[in-house]
Amino acid sequence: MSALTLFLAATPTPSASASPTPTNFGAGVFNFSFLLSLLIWTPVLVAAVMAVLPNPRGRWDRQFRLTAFWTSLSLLLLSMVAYSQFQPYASALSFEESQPWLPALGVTYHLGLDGINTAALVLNGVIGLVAVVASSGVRVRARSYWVLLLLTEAAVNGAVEAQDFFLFALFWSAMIVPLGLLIRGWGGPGARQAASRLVVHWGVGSACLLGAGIGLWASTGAVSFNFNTMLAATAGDRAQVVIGLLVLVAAASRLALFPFHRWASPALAEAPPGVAVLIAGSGMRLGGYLLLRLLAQTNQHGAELLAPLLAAMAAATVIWAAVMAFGTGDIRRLSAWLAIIPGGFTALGVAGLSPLSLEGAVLSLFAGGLAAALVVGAAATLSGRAQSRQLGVVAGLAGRMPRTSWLLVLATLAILGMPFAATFPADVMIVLGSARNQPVGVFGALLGLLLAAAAIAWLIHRVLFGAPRPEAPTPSDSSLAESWYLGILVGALLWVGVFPLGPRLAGIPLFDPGMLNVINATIPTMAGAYAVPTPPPASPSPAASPSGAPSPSPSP
Amino acid sequence: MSAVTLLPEVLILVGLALSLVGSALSVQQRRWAGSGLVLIALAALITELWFGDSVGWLLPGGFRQDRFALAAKAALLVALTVTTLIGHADLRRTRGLAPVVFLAALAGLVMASASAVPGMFAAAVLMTAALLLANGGRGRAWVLPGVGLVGYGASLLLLARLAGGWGLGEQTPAVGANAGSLAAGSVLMLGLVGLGLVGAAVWTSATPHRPLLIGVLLIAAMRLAAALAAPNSAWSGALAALAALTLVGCGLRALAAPSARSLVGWLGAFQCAWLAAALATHDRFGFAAALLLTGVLLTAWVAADLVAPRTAAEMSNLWLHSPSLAVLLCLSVLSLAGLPPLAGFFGDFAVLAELFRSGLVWVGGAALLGWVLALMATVRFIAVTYFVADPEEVRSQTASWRPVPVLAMLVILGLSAFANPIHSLAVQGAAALGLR
Repeated sequence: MSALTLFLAATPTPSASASPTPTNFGAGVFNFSFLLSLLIWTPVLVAAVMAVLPNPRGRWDRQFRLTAFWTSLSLLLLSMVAYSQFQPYASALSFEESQPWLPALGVTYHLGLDGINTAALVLNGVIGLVAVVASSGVRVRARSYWVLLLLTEAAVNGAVEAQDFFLFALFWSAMIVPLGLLIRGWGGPGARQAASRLVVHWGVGSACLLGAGIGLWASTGAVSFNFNTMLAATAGDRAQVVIGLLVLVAAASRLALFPFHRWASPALAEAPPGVAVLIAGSGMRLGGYLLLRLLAQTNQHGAELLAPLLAAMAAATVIWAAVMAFGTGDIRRLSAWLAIIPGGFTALGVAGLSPLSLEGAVLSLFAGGLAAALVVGAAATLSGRAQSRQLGVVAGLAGRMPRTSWLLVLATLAILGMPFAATFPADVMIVLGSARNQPVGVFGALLGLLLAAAAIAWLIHRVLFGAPRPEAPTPSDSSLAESWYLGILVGALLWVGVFPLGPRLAGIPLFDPGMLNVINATIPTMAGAYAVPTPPPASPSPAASPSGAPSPSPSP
Repeated sequence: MSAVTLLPEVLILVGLALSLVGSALSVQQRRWAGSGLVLIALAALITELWFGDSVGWLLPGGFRQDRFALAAKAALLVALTVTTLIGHADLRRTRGLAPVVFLAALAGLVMASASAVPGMFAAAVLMTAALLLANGGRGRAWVLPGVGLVGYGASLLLLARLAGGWGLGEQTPAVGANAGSLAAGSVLMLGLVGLGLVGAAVWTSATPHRPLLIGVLLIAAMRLAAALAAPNSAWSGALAALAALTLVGCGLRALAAPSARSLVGWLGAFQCAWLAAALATHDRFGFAAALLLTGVLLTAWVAADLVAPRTAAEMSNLWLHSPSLAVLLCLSVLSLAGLPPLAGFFGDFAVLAELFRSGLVWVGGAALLGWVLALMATVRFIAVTYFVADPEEVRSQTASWRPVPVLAMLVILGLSAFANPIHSLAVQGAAALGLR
């Protein structure tokens, strides 16, 4: 009886509303109040238990790998629950949790989902699982590897779910040490330098983020670090520009925007495949998320002033990445340069500051993360299976590694915005939405994309379809695990590309509410300040205004 | 207020007596005595938390129990408990350690409750005694006693000057106190902070006396800075400059530290500089951040100092033969560097917020620069020590986790988990100092 009472109490009851809001089919069935905390603290708890369990002579390494897999799979399922239960037309945050933490400072343990971070959360879930599967070959110090990987996943989820600046900065900075150690300990020959560069760039970015957030807090009355409160308050113009610049540096260091990109190529090229996928798919995307959250949403005047600079950085990033992709002789470095390109488009979308470009930027977070992870993972698998990273050595692999070759082709095309991939609608929305406000930036980015296409054509021609070298090591096609993790990424890219509004049966949305619907739940609020004012309606006749004074125009 | 509030001090005195006779005991007896010291430290902490929430005066105005005293004493006693716990687990480190740390803890307790010049003077005498007892480490045996004697002489002179200006029995200087007394107080406070910073940085080869001794200096500096904040804040510019320079300098030196012990020393000095920066704000929330940081700093520092080996090779061996101690050291170093999600980050964030709020943005910038340097130093340290061992050798080790380091780890992690009540207590403590 008591169990039934509890169940009934936990079941959401419809509340009376003057204007009932439409919800997607199936939304609101699961409504636990601690789902977001589970997504953060489950991997932390599993990692802690894993770290202290006895493991004589690596006897339990396989069990640790399976534990990491099941943990990541459960995180993905929980993310999908959050996504499918998201109510696009509700004004409040979904799955909100709020507890006072450091009240004297105005810090709260506040988690919640809106359209932007729901998309990012699903991305993290997919990337987390893929990173674990891509790491199935790790044998050396396996326990430490899994512990650090799970801690990174938790930090990424925490940063995405946070609705309080303190919490956001905590998780944002907390992933630096585990990622630095993962690259340093399990990376390739240049891992030491790569790890150092990542730590320096991300460390400087984190310092700028702390300066920006605390500066915003102080300049808006030092009331609360809650994003809602910071959003409601308005800092002075000068403060907004300074804070905006700091946010820009923080985001650029994470998103690898020019000139803060020097960590990305070595880190993505030297990291083990699973870690490279995690960085390219989730870690870097947090930079775009920061631009949306702390620049476009919170710091509107600063965003308008800094938009040309951001657009220039975005275009320079895309062009520079494409040029460098031409110049490298290392297939993993080449893929790393290509993985930077989606970040440039996300930044361009934010710089566009129009509803369409901002919507494209959020979709680009999701799609660009998948595409970057895919291209980095495919190149890591290909070079691992071909036993060489040198473009001068590997050639003519299409016939001998058909699966990996096709996956690499799909990955590179996704970077270019191939139709039916999720990057296509994202790039189109960004270009169309930004063309009015940032025409030069758009032109530069498209030029960069053209150069990238040429680099990709050169790569495919040479590596996949060129004449095989007799002195090259014998390649083998990707293993089942490798095919699976790359396949999952391709599947997610195609699913959202084909069904951006979610699949429907007779007009009724099915289990997927649609990524664009979810994103659209927040964009109108965020982009309202940037919407183009509608022209006042023409007066019906001069007689309507007898004094001859112009009639008052409606507020935009 | 009843005399039971003095129970922690009494317990620490008992612990001091036991530790003084401990060196004459056999190994087996020392083991029991070590357990006794852990229990005494823990009992002192519990009684302080239990009975210390009463507010009032004892010993005709010489002993004041308030929220500041409670917060500062709790910070010291947590650090003392961790010191005795880890020290007891490793008997080689127990000899000669306990009397000094108990004496330093007693000096800290007296300083935290000192309501007037005599109380501070008594604490200074106890502090000097602890310094004289302490061993400055290999080749530097003269450092700590020398500093103790110089500090004692200076405190005599300055306290005599202050006593003339402030009058005995007053908690804070009167607004109309003469400029000479205020200047003397400012010099004393800056000297204490400077001594703490220099001590933290220079005594890099010292034994684990260091954190508790410096903790006493910092508590004294907080008392004085609070007393001087209302009538005279001219010193805050000098303190802010000192803190900013130290923050960047210590970050750089931590990056170049040749050993774990050296790194711990520079990171300890780095956190002392954060604390000094918090005092430079001379407002309530800045002091609250300083109090929060004191607890975090002392606990992480004593743990790191006790575990840190002298050489990189020893550190690699630590990973192989005692992973729990190695992880404890890493957690302590991460907390000392102010990295999330450990409590050091909470303290540093609170200080940074107050620096921005009070307009000391340039100190905040220096602090962030130092933070990045400390981050780099920490990652480098962990990577260099952990990945240097042969993976096959790591696999062949069957070392298991020991309970004492795990307990110490739980204390360090607990400071993050209970950041809310600790910070609330710190805010009340700063308010008790009469700050706005």
